[in-house]
Amino acid sequence: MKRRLLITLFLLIVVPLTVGFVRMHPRALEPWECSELYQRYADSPDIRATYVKNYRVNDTLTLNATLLEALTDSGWAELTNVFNISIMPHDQAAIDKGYDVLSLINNDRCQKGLLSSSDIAVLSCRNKYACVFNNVDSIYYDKIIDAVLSKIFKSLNNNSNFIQNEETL
Amino acid sequence: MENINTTGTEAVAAERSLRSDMRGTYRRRLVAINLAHYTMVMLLLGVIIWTLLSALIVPPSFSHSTSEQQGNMIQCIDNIMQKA
Repeated sequence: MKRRLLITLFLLIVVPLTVGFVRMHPRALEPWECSELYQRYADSPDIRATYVKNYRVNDTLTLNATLLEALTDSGWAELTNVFNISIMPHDQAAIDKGYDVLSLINNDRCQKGLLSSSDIAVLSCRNKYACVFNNVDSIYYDKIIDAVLSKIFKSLNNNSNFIQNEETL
Repeated sequence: MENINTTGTEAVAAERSLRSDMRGTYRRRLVAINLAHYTMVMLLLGVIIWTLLSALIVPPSFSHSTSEQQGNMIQCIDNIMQKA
């Protein structure tokens, strides 16, 4: 009886400790486990690439994403080139004033083979980064597009207020 | 003769009472040990169920990156996905 108690007590301590250790231990992904986009820019001196797998945005949405941050002007030129983005003078003026200009990009719009049909990219012209959501489930695709578009409209609204103010002046 | 019989009856009664007390003590101890054991088993079951459930939620894994990069990444996603 005493032995059974001891075994139970031992398991009660060991199981949570093991589970806690395994779950809390940070796991770094190997390059081949990351997206192709990450692998493409992982060694670039002008672009800093980061990849995250299974990031929980909320209870229903879990994402894999690649972040490409331009560290230099040539890095930013490379990003705008591959994502096929051109910055208009009024966009540049808004950026200079501290507003952000966001672009939503799917695989039709950017360089061929860069994104798959289940990828969505968001480019921030002020912060000079591209955030690519990889392999998005069709259920969540629209949800993400809605979220990004609402963000874009919000920034457009801010920018148009800024442009109107500029024109009034 | 009567005295001996009385003494004998008392002794038997005393022994019975002692045995009954001992049985009671033993039973109470047994119940306490069983209760402790089953409580621990139930706790262990709870921990195992929690482990299985938590295995469904996979924590995020990052590429080889600095904590600054990871922070930027999370901030960027949260910033974009505010309305999702």
